[in-house]
Amino acid sequence: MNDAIPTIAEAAEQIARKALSPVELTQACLDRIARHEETLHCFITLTAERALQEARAAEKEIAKSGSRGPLHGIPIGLKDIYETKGIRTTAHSRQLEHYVPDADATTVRKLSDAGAVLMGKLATHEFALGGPSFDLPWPPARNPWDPARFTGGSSSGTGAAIAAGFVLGGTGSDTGGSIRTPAAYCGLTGIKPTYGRVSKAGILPLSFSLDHAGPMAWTAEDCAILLECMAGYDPADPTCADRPVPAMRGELGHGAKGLRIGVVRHFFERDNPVGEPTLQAIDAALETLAAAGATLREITLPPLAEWYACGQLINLSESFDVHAERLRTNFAGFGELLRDRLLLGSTIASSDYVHATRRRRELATLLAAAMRDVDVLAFATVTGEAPPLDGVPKWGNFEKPSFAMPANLSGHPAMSVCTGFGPAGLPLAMQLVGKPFAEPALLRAAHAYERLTPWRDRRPALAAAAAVTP
Amino acid sequence: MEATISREEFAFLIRRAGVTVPEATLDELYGVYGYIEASTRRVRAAGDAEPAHIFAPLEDPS
Repeated sequence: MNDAIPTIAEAAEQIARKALSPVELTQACLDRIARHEETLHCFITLTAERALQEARAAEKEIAKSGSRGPLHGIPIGLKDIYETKGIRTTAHSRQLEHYVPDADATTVRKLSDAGAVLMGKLATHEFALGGPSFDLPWPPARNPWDPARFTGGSSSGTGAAIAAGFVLGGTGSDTGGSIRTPAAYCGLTGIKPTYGRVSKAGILPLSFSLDHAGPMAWTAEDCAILLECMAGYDPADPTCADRPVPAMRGELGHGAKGLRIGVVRHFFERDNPVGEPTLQAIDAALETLAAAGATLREITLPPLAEWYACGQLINLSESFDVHAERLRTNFAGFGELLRDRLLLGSTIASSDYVHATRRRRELATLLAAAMRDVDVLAFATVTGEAPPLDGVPKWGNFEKPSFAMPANLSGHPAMSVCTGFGPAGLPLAMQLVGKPFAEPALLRAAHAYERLTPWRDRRPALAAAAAVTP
Repeated sequence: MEATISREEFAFLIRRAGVTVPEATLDELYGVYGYIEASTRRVRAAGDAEPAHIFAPLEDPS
């Protein structure tokens, strides 16, 4: 096979008609890893031998009885907060450096049952909150578009590994943008599904009421394939919704015609103004969709700071609760950044947590009402291109309200899609938000945009990437 | 963003959590605590909405 990196959909089609060998596909990913992992630091644990064994088994089974489906023989990676039987699951933390679970997370089992090939466990911000950190047992992942730049987080390794072609897809988690931000900075597509759509059983928690598990991949179609596999009711997760899983690719062919898009312009023009390249790219994206038959209308919601305040208090309160015992008994076992954020959570009064949950319900109700006459909302994912990795302010997320938090609070599904490239040659992005449990319509909007633009044809020029000192 | 409570009051909040924190860390955290206060002011301004979490008893505990 040549060195081009196929999408999951392309590889699946070729594997099913035996034009592509899962072993060759896996080996090509391993070859890229061998060339560039030393620079990018995507993996906490690389499971190369296991991957080749699984690829050989897939190849044999497909030759004998056909493909199980579009993930059979596809190399994927897991954010290292997804528990894996017999493979250490570290959360990128010294606290769990040697933790080897005795069972797979529900989603890991589903992906395995679908025949996906596990390449390994991917870097994250510590326990999906603190990062980028340089005082942990493993360095932070670096951005394949420029290794001196930040990947975004917390699903940092997944973002970098997909952009680099180390894996064709992977898993992330999103409590306040941790799928959408690395998707934006690494030029991918990532979807935070509706709260309750995907089981979190066996995924290390950060904030019980805000955590979402979901896929990241190169395209919306690939996200749909992964999400359809990962989704579904699981009695082992009390937050999981007992609802049927629709065909996630069911609306991909519908195009942009008739799509009703609500643009929350004040989020990215006034509440947290984005840079000019991001603004121009969002406007161009919306014009592209409108030219293809979508209708646009402006939507007004409470200021972004309202959403962020509410989400910050809930997130810090719940994450302190998750880690309180470890903070008391093994304070030094945390990296500085996570430890300090958790400590701030300890100062939040119970009455303020209750106020925040009340305000959350009000905000979610307003968001649902605003979407009554539109199919998706559009606004920014991040303000600009990925910043330098060594220049990410420790408390920067306190100073500017996040674009991600509205959908974490309300539970609406949300995606980040690449909208082109900025002056430094790094990806730009836009966020799309769908109605609860209407992921097929959201994926349709993202897919329509991707088909109308050339951005999915461009990959990072890894060969030109200079080695950098961690 | 400046906090409205004193450093000593802030130190009490941290101690109450049962964690021993170096003084330099306390200084740094006190320096950003104003952001937490700003968030609490925003959510306290919310109306008297119904309780967000309502306990629903299980009919079948099995």
